[in-house]
Amino acid sequence: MARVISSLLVAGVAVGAVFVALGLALLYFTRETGCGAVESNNLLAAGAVESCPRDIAGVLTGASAFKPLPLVQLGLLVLIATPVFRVAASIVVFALDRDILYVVITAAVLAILLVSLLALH
Amino acid sequence: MSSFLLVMFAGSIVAGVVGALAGLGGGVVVVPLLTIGFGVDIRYAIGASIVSVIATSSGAAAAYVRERITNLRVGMFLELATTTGAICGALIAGLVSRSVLFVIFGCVLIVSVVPLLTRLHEELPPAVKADKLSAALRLGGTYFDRAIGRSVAYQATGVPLAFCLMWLAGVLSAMLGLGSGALKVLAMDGAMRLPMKVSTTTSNFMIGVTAAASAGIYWNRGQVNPMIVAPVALGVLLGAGIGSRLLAHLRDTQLRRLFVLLLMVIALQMILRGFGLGI
Repeated sequence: MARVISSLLVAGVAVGAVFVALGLALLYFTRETGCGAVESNNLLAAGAVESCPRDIAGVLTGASAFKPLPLVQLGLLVLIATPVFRVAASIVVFALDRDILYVVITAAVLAILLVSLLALH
Repeated sequence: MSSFLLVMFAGSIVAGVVGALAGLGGGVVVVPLLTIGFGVDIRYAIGASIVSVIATSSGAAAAYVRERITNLRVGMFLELATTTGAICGALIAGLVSRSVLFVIFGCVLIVSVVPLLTRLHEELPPAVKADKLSAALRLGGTYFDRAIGRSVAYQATGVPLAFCLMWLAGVLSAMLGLGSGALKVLAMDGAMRLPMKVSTTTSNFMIGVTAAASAGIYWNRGQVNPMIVAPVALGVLLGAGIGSRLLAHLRDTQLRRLFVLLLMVIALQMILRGFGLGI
């Protein structure tokens, strides 16, 4: 069971990192962001972030079209989601162990995480 | 743009290596690197650091979970505190001024670094009796210690204090983009009297979840800038991987202390920056 959680963590980081790397490579070689022009003096400011979609639907649309920054954002979302999936998997692990107390505790942690993430519009 | 990305990536690799060698993780070096080194707004730097912290800690945690040293029950229970703290911290960070963030960052860094200069004890604590809460929550456990070649059974105590410290660790993590591993270990080792190996591995396990709790809030505020976070997250991930390999060869040498002292200097720079002085 510990092995399942371990594999989940590695998979999440790997998938997320691959998307980020892919998006970054496309950005580097095509010099296009896929969501608005980026002036050189805008790089350290909010420029890229303001024009790129931040909602999940927008990110998925952009990523499936292989647009560089949306691809990066998809990777980042996967990275952020990895610990959340890990917590969800732990609920299953505790349930299989018939450990009701920890199913409840873990479900509470998951609820807290979702409250914070559902701010993702 | 290309050179910008490359420089960010290279710098982040260095940050990851230094953090891993000092035993504190990439977060502590990434934020100063981005702010003082590259002139990035501290709030975007923290957003980038939080995502990087999720990546590196999940990777590290995977190995320890597999070896069954991590105490999943302790981790899960304490995560109630860290995640709540993280949401509070992320919200507070949105309210205070940037200068305040710089100063708090520097102070927390100094406080985390000091115990690293005096070696933390690695011996097993004398037999601990579980307190009522710990027994009810079944927080004790066993693990196989390769260094001494036998299984170690342990109990936990001081749960309420640890819970409060974990809440604080969550607040600081979210406010500053750190993993707060040091504070977590302190709570588990000092307050709960868990064996050091259990404390450090369980702390690693919790860091990613704590960071994820605040990441959504930063994302929403538009403070996770993909242009910055992409090279930084990948760089730190790579650097931390390299650094932890090197760490095995650098056990007790002066080099490790040098890195720790470097962090002290960085901490002072952050404080100075907060007061409008320094580079």
